[in-house]
Amino acid sequence: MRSMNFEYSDKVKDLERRLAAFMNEHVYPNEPVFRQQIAEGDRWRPTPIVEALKARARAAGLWNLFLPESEYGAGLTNTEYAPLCEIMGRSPGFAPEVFNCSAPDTGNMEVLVRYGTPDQRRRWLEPLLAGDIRSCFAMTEPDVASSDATNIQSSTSSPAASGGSPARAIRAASWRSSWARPIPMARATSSSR
Amino acid sequence: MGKTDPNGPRHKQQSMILVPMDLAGITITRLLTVFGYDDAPHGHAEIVFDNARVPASNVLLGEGRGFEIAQGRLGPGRIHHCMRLIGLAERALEAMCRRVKARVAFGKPLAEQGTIRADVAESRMALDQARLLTLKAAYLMDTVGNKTARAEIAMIKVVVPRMALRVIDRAIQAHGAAGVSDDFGLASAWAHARTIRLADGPDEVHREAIAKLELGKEN
Repeated sequence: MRSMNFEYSDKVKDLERRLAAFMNEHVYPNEPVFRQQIAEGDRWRPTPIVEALKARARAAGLWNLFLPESEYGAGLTNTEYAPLCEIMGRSPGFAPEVFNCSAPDTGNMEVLVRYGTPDQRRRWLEPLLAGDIRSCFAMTEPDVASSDATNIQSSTSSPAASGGSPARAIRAASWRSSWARPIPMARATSSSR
Repeated sequence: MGKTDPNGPRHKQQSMILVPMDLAGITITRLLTVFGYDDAPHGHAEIVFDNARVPASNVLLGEGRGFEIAQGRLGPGRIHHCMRLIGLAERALEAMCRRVKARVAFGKPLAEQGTIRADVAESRMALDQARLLTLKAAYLMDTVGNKTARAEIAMIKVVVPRMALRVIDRAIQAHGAAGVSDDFGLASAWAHARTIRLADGPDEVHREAIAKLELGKEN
């Protein structure tokens, strides 16, 4: 086995200390507030407490820690991110989003950083990095064993290829977003039943 | 992700496409629950895409490259799930320790009863094992890349949720009936951890990947 050094750098120790302090001061005490706001309001709208804490976390430099690319994120390695991600995981459904580090936004942002065109990045990545929109990922389907992704039935076709006729339905169990923003429609289709 | 070329090679049939949620043709037909939790405001929905139209420029990377993107996306996604679950399990073990020090049964604190002490030790051992394996996976991803680290990524994806479920379950047991209520967050923590045995690939797929690598060695 190769030699592995898990000693955290001073940069990570400092982030760890500040993140833990933020959790103690702002996250754990507000868990009941988060639950109450969901229970009292429209359950599918962003809560005021998360929005307030997002602004605070961003100002504190505890933002987009998951993203290794330093052009956009904190530039941490996986090993460096591990203790920080662990701390956020202590309050599931609440803390990760406060720091803009919640799934599936993190994976979707990584995809856009890695594969997005400049226009796709401007339209989708920048607002995600800013925490202005949320994303979901539609993949698993009720009618097929989706653990084998080659089973997926949802189909997409371009009008040139299919005459614009609907193909099959995508029925996807996925995370939903309340915040997706409108964009102009044009050609290629994403599918249907 | 959806099929753009049903007749293409098996792993070139699918593409990933960016879709705004308020597009015509998209209907949220049902909001699903997970062990009764709706996980608002995030949630889990069944969504129908019925001839929803987006510009061709919304295709990511290029037609037929969905699997290629998925390969790149899932390594970090999986390890992040594991890191978060380790934190959740730590919190459950802390709650368990607080509880057993504060409660008395059969004449002495729960914390002085042998089976409870054994459970605390089991949880600490499992947690530290899982964390070390996760750090190893992270280290390999950083130094030799996600592809070479695929065995370790697959291993933690099975080991960590399994560990977290056991640790949370012991914490629930030590809390008595209160553990399965919503008063201590343990019931929802367990429900959440259970979903990770399915998210980003079920255990079966990861064990198959590990077995394939192991059996492919010169034994």
